Amino acid sequence: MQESIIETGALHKAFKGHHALNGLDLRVPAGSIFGFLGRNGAGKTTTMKVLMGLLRADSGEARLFGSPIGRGGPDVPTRRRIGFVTEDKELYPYMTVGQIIRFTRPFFPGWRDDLERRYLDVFELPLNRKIPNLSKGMRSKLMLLLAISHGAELLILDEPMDGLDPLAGEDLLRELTSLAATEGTTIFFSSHQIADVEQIADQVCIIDKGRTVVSGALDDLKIQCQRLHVVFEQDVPARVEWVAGVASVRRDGRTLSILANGNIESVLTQLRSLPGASVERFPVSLKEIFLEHVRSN
Amino acid sequence: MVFRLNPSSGVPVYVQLMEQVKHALDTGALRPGDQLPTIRKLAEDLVVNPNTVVRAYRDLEHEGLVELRQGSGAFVRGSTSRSTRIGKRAQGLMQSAIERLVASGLTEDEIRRLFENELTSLLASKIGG
Amino acid sequence: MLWFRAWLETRSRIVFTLVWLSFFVGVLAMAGTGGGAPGNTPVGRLLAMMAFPWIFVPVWLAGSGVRTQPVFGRNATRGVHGSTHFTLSLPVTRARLLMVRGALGLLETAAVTLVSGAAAWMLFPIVRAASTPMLGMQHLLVVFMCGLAFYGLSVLMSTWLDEMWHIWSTTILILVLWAPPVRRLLPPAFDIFRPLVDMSPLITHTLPWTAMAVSLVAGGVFVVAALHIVKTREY
Repeated sequence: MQESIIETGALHKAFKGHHALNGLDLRVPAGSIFGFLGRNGAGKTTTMKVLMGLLRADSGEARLFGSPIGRGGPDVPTRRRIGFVTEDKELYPYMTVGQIIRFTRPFFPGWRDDLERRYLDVFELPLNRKIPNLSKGMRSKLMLLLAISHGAELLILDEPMDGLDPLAGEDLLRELTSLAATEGTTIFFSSHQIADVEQIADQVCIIDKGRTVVSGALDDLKIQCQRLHVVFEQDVPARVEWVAGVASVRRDGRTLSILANGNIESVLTQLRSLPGASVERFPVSLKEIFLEHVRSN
Repeated sequence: MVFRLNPSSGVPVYVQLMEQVKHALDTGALRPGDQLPTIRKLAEDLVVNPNTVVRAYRDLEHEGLVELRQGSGAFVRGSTSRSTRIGKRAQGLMQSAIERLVASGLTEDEIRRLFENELTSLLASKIGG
Repeated sequence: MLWFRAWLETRSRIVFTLVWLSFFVGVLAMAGTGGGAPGNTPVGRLLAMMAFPWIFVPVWLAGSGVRTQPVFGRNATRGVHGSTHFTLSLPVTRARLLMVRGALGLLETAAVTLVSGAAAWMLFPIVRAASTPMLGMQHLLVVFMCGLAFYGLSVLMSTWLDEMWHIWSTTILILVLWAPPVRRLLPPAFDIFRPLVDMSPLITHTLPWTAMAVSLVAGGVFVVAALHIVKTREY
């Protein structure tokens, strides 16, 4: 069993009556690329801020590298092992790219000059440009450079693709997979772009209204979730006691579209036993899984 | 070796990789003794999770198609004649099936649609267990 | 590097405070210090006029070190908290962020005090005539010490008020405290405004130890409260 590098249990956080986190359970295995998906306001940024000590949870527990996060957030040694990219990608407006790198470097004894050089090159960041004169995409890349170059074991990235055009986004995904492959870095990132998560994540978690809706290995999810189209010769049967594993049923004329999220064989058996039914199976993309689970929530 | 992956299809990426390796073996693009790309290189080139490549290679080894040698990489197993025999046989099967479908009056488009439906169903049922 | 960052944030403020003081010094130099209420010595009047602008120097130079402070002409933050999240994710305690910023601001206040004092010494013959360089230095020391309370208060306000609000709020509080009706309510020992004016060593030839101690303690209390706020605040 892989140890968890991030773990939360029943995490609660409310702001003026609004429950941003409503009993969130999370397990991020060490060495994984973990995609954190959810709608706007689902609680992704709040979760990351709680992990980094910018916010305090009202109740529940959170652990980093196996140790619980204290009242004041993760301690200094723990923060040395984490690279964080914030939601707003804001850095100091009175510094240049070169200055902020020089500023950040001494905080981290494990700073990797080789990674710094590589990413300055790959991201094409101009050393002498002042930070407010950088586009949002370049600021994202700069923050990423700072997070990666200090040799972090864990990267917590809040919408790292924000502001990046498709080409730059693809480059970033490539760099992240390369990092995971060579350094064994655990990458915990949130994104709106389901396709990006689908491409590089091996673990995913979909949250909605502050709670985990779906979570697990992406490959397992794709195997367990299937769409089944049932076409009936006559009318669709009026009332059916669906077996466990049927997540949603939609009717269109004489066709039923069913999303099964487990127990596929039993579901198939039940469907084939219905009078006048012919069944076709289709694999399900992560986008469908996401939409289906979030809509029904 | 050119791979074309579709991460957004419901078929897990490692399964797609395996299918494509097997297809390459069938057509002769990959021959016994050939070395597959390293895990790291393939992950970087395709921009997929390295664990995905690991899983594909391991399952291929499990099925006896590939041999993972410690430190050197993944190498194709088996004999030349077997893979070309399979390739030729499959081609023959396909030809006769198409001829029969054309004979029963199906158009090219209908045949193609039928083929894709059946193939997708088959793949889905395979991974569903 | 925290010192470097604090320096980048405050250097334009130093320029501003020097310009601000120079303005008053310039006005005084040209207008002269004659006239005013009977019984007032020229030096006393000069001190009274300079005390007013000087009070705000420590207020302007204070900061929390946690939130990025706006540099003149540009808002430091986009969004509610701006680069604060980046700062707080660094492996450094919040206490250290506050203390480094606080220490640099104090050094800068001392420097500005010395520079303005030296300028006043050179520009105003009545000051040179009425005292010695030693007394002049003592006066600057008293001014600095009494400013500690204002500095600490500004630091405290900067931990829970953002952007430039801590400056305005501290200024208002100070003006309220300085107004004679309120000041009369304070015990005489706690009046830290008088050592800047009629109880200055330039006039009394002694050091107002009680007032300096009161200011030091008050400043310390404010900073301790500021530390507590910074440690527990959410961003």
